[in-house]
Amino acid sequence: MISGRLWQLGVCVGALATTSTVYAYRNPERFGAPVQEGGGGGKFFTLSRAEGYGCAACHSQGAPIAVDIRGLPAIVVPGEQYRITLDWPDDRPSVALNVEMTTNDGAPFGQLIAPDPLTLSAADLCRVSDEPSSGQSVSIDAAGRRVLLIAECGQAQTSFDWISPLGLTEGYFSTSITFSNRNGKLDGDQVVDVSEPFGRQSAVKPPSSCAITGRAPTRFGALAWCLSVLALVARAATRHLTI
Amino acid sequence: MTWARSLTVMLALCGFACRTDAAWSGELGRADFAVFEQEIYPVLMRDCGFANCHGVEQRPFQVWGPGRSRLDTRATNIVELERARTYARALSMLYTDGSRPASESPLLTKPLELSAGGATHGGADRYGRNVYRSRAEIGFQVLSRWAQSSTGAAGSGGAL
Repeated sequence: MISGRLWQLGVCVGALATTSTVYAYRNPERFGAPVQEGGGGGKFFTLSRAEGYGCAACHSQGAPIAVDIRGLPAIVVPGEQYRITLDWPDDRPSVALNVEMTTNDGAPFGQLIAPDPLTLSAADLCRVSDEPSSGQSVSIDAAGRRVLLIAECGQAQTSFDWISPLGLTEGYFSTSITFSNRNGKLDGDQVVDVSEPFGRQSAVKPPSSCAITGRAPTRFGALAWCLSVLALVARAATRHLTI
Repeated sequence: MTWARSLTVMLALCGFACRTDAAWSGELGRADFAVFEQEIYPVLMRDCGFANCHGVEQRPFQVWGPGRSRLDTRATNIVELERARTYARALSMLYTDGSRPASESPLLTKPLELSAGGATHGGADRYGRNVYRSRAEIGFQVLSRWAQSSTGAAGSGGAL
């Protein structure tokens, strides 16, 4: 009787269980490798407008994790270099991500740069490397698509540089971050997706009078400037009518 | 005899689960396997074979291979098995009712943007875009050439 039930159980498990297993991309270079070699074939899963898919295409989305983004400019000065930092909880030692900056239609927006590790803080550096390393590399394809690949190496945060383009001041910062539970499978991982516009405030043109000071106007200042102009116009109109 | 009865019930349930009110009947089509291996398989691997998309056994259309979902790592001929399974599933996606061309089969309409003549697809990206936004995309053209050269799978009835 027992053996009969065991056999039934075996049949059920055999019928229902999936036989598939999946291997993640531990080496970021595999994203750009041909699919025939097990690579991504040029898909980087940055969630950017150039691609649209993130790590959750394969990894489980899981519960959200708070990631602090620092250094993303609200106002983009053309040709300026910015250092951007992504900081996640320190109890997450196994984190990997790909980063991309694009325009609204998915074209490259500025240049992402992997900085010299010697210019980074200890939190940015790999814990598993003897030499100072941030685990970062930049992939540039034939179409000029530029993706910053950041390997899982025990870092507590990651910092990278971005040089803004000369002609555009508005774009999107996109990344999809995998927090692995290191079980070698895709389930149980957590994915944080970020696709954020930035530089939009630069579309607000400062009043010409503010250019003298060389400082960006506050909203209150711009409002006061407009009210002053309106008052002068109204006063002139009143005088004209009186005359 | 208990196990035999259980097996019979299970098979009956499987048959019931796979059957629809309007059961499909017909033959699977044929398409060049060499071309599939050389051109189609890489496109399907790149664009469809993700673990949360078509790299799972629960979906009718399945894509298996290295760097994606694997069928069974213990099999010595795993690469052949995965390509054969993917080929069979791709063929099944060349289905039409027989009166329509292969260009209207799910293999070509499902990944294509609605505005370009495609169909709805759960695999739209974060911005609501389908895999191929136009018929001019290289991946779509490769699939299209292969589909046009196939005999397609034609039958009657059934629901996709």
